[in-house]
Amino acid sequence: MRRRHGKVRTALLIGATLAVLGTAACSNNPDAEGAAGAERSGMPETPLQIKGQKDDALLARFPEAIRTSGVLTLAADPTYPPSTFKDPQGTIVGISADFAAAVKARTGLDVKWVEVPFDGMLAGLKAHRFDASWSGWNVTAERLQVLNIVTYMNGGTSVLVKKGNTAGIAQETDLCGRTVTAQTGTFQAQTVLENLQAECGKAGRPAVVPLLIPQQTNVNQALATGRADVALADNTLVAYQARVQPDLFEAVPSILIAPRRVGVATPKDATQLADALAATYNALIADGTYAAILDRWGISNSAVAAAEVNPLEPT
Amino acid sequence: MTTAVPRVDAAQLAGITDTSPVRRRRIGATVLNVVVALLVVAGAVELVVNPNFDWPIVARYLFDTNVLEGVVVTLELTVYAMAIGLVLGVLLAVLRQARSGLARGVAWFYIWFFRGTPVLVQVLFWGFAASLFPRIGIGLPGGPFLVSWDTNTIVPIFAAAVLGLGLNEAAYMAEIVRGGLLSVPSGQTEAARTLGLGHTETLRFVILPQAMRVIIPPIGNQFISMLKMTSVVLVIGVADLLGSVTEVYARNYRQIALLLVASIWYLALTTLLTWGQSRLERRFGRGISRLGDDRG
Repeated sequence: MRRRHGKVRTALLIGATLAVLGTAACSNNPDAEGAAGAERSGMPETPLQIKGQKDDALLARFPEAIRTSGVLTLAADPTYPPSTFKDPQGTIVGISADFAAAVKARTGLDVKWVEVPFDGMLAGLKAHRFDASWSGWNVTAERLQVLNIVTYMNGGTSVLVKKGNTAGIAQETDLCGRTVTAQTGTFQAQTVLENLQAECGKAGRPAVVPLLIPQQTNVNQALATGRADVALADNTLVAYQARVQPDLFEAVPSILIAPRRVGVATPKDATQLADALAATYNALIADGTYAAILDRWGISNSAVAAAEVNPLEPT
Repeated sequence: MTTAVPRVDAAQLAGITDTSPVRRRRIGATVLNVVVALLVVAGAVELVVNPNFDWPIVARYLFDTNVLEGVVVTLELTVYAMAIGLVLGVLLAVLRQARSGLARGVAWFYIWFFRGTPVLVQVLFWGFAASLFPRIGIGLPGGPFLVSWDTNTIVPIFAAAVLGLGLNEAAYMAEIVRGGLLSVPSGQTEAARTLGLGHTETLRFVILPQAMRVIIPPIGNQFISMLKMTSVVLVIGVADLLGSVTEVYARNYRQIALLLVASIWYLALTTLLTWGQSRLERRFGRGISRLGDDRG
């Protein structure tokens, strides 16, 4: 009797394990994805075009340690499309990844990715765990005290809402009294939310309820599930999410908060690297690669005339 | 008349003059002591001298309002989650020993599922449950709701965190309680029944008091483990202790100093819990010296 009981239990356990694994196995089937129609790759249709050739004069501008190792170690938070995210094969792709490939082609340096959540980037830069952070850093005076930002795009903060915009968000003060989600440690979570609170206070409207979440994917999910009424993020991310998941999200075109320069970051003491990266970006602007990358991702209107190190004033 | 009896020392008789106990020199032990002492001193000096520890910042934020609010949230999460875990865990443990096969099966499935998936996933699931069930209500399976509520209203983000942690904890607690119940020899039940005690009375007066001795230490352990595990809720944006310091260091860029602030609080709270645990153990261990008195 007891033996039989044991056998039944073993059979149940094995059955349950197989059932779970079976469900998991199905989801890897590419045909199933097509049928569901919910997943989109988010990759642009035009291929990446790098126009210039390897340039030793550019390479010579990089710090000796990097030239000797021949490797540029870059930190990416792959939860932030279209800047950096992962394709189905697990490769880091996106606008910033395209620029990394272009830097590699022009300098001959290999690129090694390190995955770091955004709120850990600064500590990682300070501890020199990687050469540069390849996230899109909005320039603020506070940040320039602890790092160098090599700007190469115009950015700003946009508002993402659920499809249909039932809350009727049309201007900044419409956010007052709403639950607003943003990624922890970002420009939006700090400067933008703070300014919004001040604005709502001045207008005599109720305060914004912030919901700060460490990963951008979960920020999007908080909006999708109605935990938050709106999400604040870089204009490129908002445009991308609205384009890739049109049945879920839409961007609010009438709001662009705090337009300013965006770029990659190096530790404060790594000024030579910052200058070398600016020179490389300027070479990419000159040879047309820059315009091709922005065009590929549909953000040509974010183009700047020149890359700069630590420009504070938005232009 | 008394006769003075001369005291005779055994050592004197044996002709030994030095009576102090012989000390064997243990060079290895001495060297080890010196090395450990040096390491401790070096560590202490480093803590004071290394400016990267940023002690002034640690001091400034240790009692910062945001951090204190985080401490309160962490304590609330721990207590609520453990309460759910305990009640549901006891229920599951009893169900696992029930006579009904269905009850046993349900309890087994619950433990299998909630112990078999990471707590982080469960917290995310509860946080964003509205993507699965936009409304929760009462109605026939597959049919329309008779009454229903918005999931996010019924399960606010804090409740989602408590549910995620508590339901996971229940699975572990069930096994701890079951282990405790099984540790009481079946002769105890038989004896209680012979004395005329009913099922509930046997459980209450005979089984549970003995099982508690076995159950209390691991529950204390779970409590301490839960206190720190609550930090996973920061993924859904609950500002617990770790969540609050994350937000502060994301702003002032003093990550290490603020992680130290969080660690100091976690250590203080676990110390408090450890003390509480030993008090409880002593209480439930009365009459059994090894547990009842740790001076043993």
